[in-house]
Amino acid sequence: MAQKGLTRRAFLRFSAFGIASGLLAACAPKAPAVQGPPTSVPAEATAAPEATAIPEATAAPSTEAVTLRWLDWADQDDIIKMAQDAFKEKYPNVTVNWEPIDEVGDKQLQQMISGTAPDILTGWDGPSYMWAEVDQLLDLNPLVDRDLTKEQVADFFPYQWNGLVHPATKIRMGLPYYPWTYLYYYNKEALAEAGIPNLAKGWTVDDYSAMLEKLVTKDSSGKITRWGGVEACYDSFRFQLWMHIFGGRAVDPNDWTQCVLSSEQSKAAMEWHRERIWDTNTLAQRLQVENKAGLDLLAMGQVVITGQGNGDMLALLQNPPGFEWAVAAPPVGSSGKNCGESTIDNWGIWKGTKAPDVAWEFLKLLALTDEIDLAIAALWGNPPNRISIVPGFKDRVKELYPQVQDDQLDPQTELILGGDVAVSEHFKKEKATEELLAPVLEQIFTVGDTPVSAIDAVCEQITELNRKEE
Amino acid sequence: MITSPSAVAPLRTYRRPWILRALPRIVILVLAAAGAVLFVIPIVWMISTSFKPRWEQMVMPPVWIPSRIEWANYLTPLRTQPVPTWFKNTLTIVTCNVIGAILSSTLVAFGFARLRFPGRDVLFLVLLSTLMLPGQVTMIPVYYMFAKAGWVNTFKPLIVPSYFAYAFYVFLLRQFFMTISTEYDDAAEIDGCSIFGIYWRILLPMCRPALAVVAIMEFTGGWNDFFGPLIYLNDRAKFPIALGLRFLQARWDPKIGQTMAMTFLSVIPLLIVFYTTQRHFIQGIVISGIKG
Repeated sequence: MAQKGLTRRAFLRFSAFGIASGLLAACAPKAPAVQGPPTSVPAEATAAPEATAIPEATAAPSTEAVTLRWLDWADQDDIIKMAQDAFKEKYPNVTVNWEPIDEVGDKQLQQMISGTAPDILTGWDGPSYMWAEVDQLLDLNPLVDRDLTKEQVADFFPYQWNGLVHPATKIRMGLPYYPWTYLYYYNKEALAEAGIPNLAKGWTVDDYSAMLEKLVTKDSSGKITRWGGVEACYDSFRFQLWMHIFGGRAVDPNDWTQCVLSSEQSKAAMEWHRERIWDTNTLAQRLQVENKAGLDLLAMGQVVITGQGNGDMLALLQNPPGFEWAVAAPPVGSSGKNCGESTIDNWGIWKGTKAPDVAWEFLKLLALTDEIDLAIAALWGNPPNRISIVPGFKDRVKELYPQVQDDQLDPQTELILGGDVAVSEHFKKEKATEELLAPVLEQIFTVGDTPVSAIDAVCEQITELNRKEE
Repeated sequence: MITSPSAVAPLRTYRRPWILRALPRIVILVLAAAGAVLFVIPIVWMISTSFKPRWEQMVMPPVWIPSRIEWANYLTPLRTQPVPTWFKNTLTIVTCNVIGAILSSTLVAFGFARLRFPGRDVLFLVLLSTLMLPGQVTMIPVYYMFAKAGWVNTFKPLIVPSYFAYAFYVFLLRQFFMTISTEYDDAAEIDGCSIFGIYWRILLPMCRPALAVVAIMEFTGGWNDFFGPLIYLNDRAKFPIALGLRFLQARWDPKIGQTMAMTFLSVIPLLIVFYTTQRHFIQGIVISGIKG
């Protein structure tokens, strides 16, 4: 095409027009049709949050219109509405908008840095620690001291309550949501066939060993058709429970840079599992069962017993397998204690919130309202977050799931109330530590070509890593 | 001895047995069939699993025919989740994206293919070089920019960029424009057509196959986009289907059956679009000389 079609001047004019249009489009006001809800976090609040001032007086949100953004789990719409309505009734000027949480927690970190995070956060061990370490969580200690009574504080499970204080910054990261605990789900019919009684409180690691051997079945060619059980040993968090059962630990309680995985007790726990996975194969190897979840293996009849969190009960209640099942607390080992492992699932407040007093009021509503906490507990099959309402838990679950049996609920309430329950241990540099630890656990338990003693060198590396100054 | 020609045995052309003649074709067909089976297995598994009861979903080797049809995998999410809204959101975003990508990319490509101006080739190289920049590099600054503009939790970050031309589409369309003779432009110009008129009335109608390629690529890309909505959208009611599927998974139960059921529903529009437009799609790719 001839050049005379477009002169340089015309080109510049077109370009200028295009740029101007682009700028206008970028600066245009939000279209109402797709606009997000009004938020308590204005767009200009994009820098890392400054320390939020805690109101001195008893929290009494002003009458100006406020919108809170609340990050919480999906699949509990009725409970979310219950909380929203209850708060609206108390504070008509406040609107609480719920947002569903994804599994990771990284998205919220990105939002925090950009100033667009929700005001109320649902967290647990990994995310809460991650957010606290980058100073994005509001310290709830001053608010607790100001507003909660000693009785209210004592009503939370002590391990969760204490576990919600970050070891380095000493801030309180949240108020307890519910105690996730590790339980053993088993096939009662398979136990009866093998002449094994149902698992009673206080059953031991030795009982477990003997039981696993009896429960393995093989075909005529000697190939295993059913393993006794399956354990998530490759998961360092879940494996901490077993270290406690044997009297060991992962982290020195007085120095979170010191790895104690190489202690005799911790190694004994590892060796117990390694033997059963690789020497006797009474516990399924991870690759033998295509890395399937323990509950699937139990329901499909590939194992008779498996360790899983109490929330997994929901899948069994909603989709009954073709056999009777029950749960048991973890076995008692050489520590002599009824050990349990709990998470620190919690509701926290983002430090960048522009309405800390309102957010705190909402947090109190969530964590201290019997109806809400029992509804959550019943829906998920987890005991509630406070000791005083645990007695109402069973009845509420039975309302939702009439088929539920006592031996599917009692062991977990007994454990969380009377067991020696611990929350997850954390290293100072948790993520970097996991990168060192996960491969050696995989070599020992999944690949099976490495002795447990390999943990000695890794443990030294972990300590060195955690003590190294940035 | 002289023999008559008729006595000579007729010259017989050697013909390979039919099996040998057909062999290459058979081999190709067998390989193609094997490849097709390989590709179709995950789709069949997805459809089959969408009808399976909970404890049959992870069985290995897979159970292809469910022991009973679990309609709840379809009905439960449709009842408990805003799935129709997710479809509507997806359609809104994708439609806007397709229109934006076609308009902006063709306009830019037309400029690079037909107009002469100083620095054109350098600018084109700069444009192409943006193809080498991984999205991860620009993700955080772009998010920050949109957050500053107050666009987070709106569709704008997912739609507006498509109105600023994508380098790949510009390249594809430029190649296509260059295959069209400039004599059309000259003739139109003689008849008094403006530059924009040449673009709009002459060239755009002539490059329908290439536009189909852009439209289909943009449609499938937008329909399947997970990461953009994940970082920009917070409200469940604003999710597109690709992101909504992620939130079908419950806290402790992956709900594979329900996820597969909704995934199956979500790919149906893609399949319809692809099969109804595949002729244009293939033609466009062949003419522009660009393969995916």
